[in-house]
Amino acid sequence: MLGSFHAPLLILAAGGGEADPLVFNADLALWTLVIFLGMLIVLSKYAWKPLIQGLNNREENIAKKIEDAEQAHEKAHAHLRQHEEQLAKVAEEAKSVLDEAKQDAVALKDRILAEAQEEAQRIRDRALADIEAAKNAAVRELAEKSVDSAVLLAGSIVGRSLDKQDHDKLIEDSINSFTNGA
Amino acid sequence: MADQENHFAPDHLFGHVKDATYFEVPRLLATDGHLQVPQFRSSTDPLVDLTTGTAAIDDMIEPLDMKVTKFMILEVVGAVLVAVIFIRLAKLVRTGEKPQGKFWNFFEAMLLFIRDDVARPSIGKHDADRFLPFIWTIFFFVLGCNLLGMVPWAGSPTGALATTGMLALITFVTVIGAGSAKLGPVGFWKAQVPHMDLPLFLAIFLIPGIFLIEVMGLLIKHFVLAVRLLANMMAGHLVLAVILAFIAAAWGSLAGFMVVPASILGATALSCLELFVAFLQAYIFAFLASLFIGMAVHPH
Repeated sequence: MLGSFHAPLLILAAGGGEADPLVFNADLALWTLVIFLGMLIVLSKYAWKPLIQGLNNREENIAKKIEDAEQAHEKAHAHLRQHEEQLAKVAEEAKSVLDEAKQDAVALKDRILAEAQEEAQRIRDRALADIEAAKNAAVRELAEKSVDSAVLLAGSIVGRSLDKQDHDKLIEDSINSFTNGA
Repeated sequence: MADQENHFAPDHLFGHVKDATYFEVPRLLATDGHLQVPQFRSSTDPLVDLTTGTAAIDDMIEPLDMKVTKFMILEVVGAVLVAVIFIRLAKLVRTGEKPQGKFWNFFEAMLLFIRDDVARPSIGKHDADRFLPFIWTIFFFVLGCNLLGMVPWAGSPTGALATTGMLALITFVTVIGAGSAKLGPVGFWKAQVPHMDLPLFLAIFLIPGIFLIEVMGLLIKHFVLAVRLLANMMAGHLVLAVILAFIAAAWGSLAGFMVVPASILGATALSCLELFVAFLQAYIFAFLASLFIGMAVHPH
């Protein structure tokens, strides 16, 4: 192997003297081999292997963390969308509940009003009927009283009592005239 | 010129860049400015005779003599720095906490850059993590060695062919190993020849030729890997040495009033460039190593 190095060196070294920079120091070459192999062995065990492992672990860690973050983000996004949907649904529900309540209230108001009006009408009608009845009773009583007293008076005047038939006829006539006159 | 010494002599300039058995330090610390590296062996006789008999080659090779040099010590310093930094970082990363602080973010950014923009695109995500320890080690070792060249009195071990050549050889072995493990020892070499529908008589001539060219290409690619890093690191430091040598050359003369500030500015600017090149070359080395591994593992 060394031979392959030397042949071209002959050209490079032409004219070289004592201080030839292309001199090949066999000791230095062997020493370089020893140092290099020593470095390779020691560093591989105590530096390169843990370094490669550490760097790979970190890379995996970072990749995993990024993936986790992406997943979390996706999840949060889904949650947000779900919540927004729910919120919209709730708002709609609230609105419909409110509308219904409003409708109910209006209906209730109308019904109460109608009932109240009806009740009032009924009370008035009854009152009017009562008044009418009372008036009729009063008139009737007055007529009876008047007839009685008139009969009594007339009886005393004519000196005889009217019999029952006369009496009733008189009342009837009297009421009729009264009613017609009224 | 007051100074008689030739500051621009190649030996002198290269002396600042190449490996040595001493550190250049201020003369306060050592009388001749050289702090000698302690040696295990008193003798400098080679342990193994590597002489080939060809002078041109023998001049190129410094034999095995157990000589401890500056670059060896600096490689250890670089390796220890890298180990301390990344073992500490590994402890932090293992906690699983998020990255915080300058230390953690600075080095983790570099690690992730190499992983995500160098290793994975070149090798493919599945296979890349298996080779990541190799790519990280080679990147930070080269970067550490490059940056040590910017520290005063230190130097760049990557400015020596032995270092970059061995790193390229390690890469070459890794590439062949990776390819053989994936495609089988025969499959890897077979995959070097792209599949072609050739008539038999053409295939007999062409396929061995193409195989030879591809194997040569494989060797040259890795050789260039070594030379590119070496040339970049050495050239930068050599240019710095030349610019600073202007100061020594012009010192004491009238021209010095112009040359010294210009040299200082130039050296500062080039040092900034060198800082950039240190990172760039480490990146290129790691990137090409990943690319070669990727090509070996996925041939088509």
